Amino acid sequence: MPDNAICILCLELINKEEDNRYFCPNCEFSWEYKLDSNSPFLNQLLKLIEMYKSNNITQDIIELAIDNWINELDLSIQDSNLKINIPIPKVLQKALNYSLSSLKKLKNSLEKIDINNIDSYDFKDVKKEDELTLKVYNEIKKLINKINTDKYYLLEQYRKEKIDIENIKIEEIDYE
Amino acid sequence: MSEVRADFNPKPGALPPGHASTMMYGEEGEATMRAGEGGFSTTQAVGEDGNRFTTLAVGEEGDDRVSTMRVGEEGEDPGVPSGPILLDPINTQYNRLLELLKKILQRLINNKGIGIGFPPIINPNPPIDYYPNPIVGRDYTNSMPKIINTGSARIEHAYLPEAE
Repeated sequence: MPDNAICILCLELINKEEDNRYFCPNCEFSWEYKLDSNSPFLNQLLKLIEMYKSNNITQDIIELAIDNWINELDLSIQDSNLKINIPIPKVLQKALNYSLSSLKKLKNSLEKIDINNIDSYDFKDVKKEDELTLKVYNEIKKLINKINTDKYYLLEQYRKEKIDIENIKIEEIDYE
Repeated sequence: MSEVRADFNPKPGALPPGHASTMMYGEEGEATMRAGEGGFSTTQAVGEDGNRFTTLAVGEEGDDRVSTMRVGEEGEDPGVPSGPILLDPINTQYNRLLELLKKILQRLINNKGIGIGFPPIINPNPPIDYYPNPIVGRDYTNSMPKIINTGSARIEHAYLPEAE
């Protein structure tokens, strides 16, 4: 489970208490992650559904959680939807494409949730897309580690693809 | 006794063409040379029974590429990628490109779409709304100190016309 996690209700950083337990001091919610291969948001949403089924919370809290998640996905989609006007190695282009595609699919699956029949909703599609998005996230993390440990990794990729980096003009590009 | 031989005239700091390292006549059986401050350091050790080898570390700080080449062996060192960029550790174009691509990837990893990452920094230090000169018509009532102790009251009094 990640060290950094965000509360789906208040979108603040939450504290990791144990390996799969997090606590949000803002909402005073104790989150328990049951699905290792799924993201913090999905685990939190499923916890809320459980609570809703046992009449501990109302439907509007579920709605808030789903809305927050969709909004966060929108921001992430913006970040992945970069237009890069310099040649970049395929490995990076793949990372961008997979990130964008997985986030969009996850957003679509969330938008399909029938909030009025939340009791009987199976979340199968959401779980599948969420798992894929988390996998892409982890792969990008590995790629960043590789680039950080081997300074010449990207240079080798450029050379493999016969891209001449000497002529790339990067003066006016800022991807901050 | 190990014998160190060189087929060229060693000059400090000079790299002979085709050789991975410049050998310096040092103490018996062992020679160590550090060439300049350009990130190149060459350590040459001479082993037993004529087993001579050179360990060449190339690059900037933290660059762990190490090559092994026998003394006197000519040609390209397979451990070190060839090309002008690698031989010049401070290659501006590649370094800038690398930083840029890292930033792009970092944007993807910082995504919070799945609840991992950092919340957006919403201006942690909001600008302080201060007015260097009083503005006509502005109400400064709330800007006045709420508690005035006797000391500060006395000072204020000292500047009032009535006090004179």
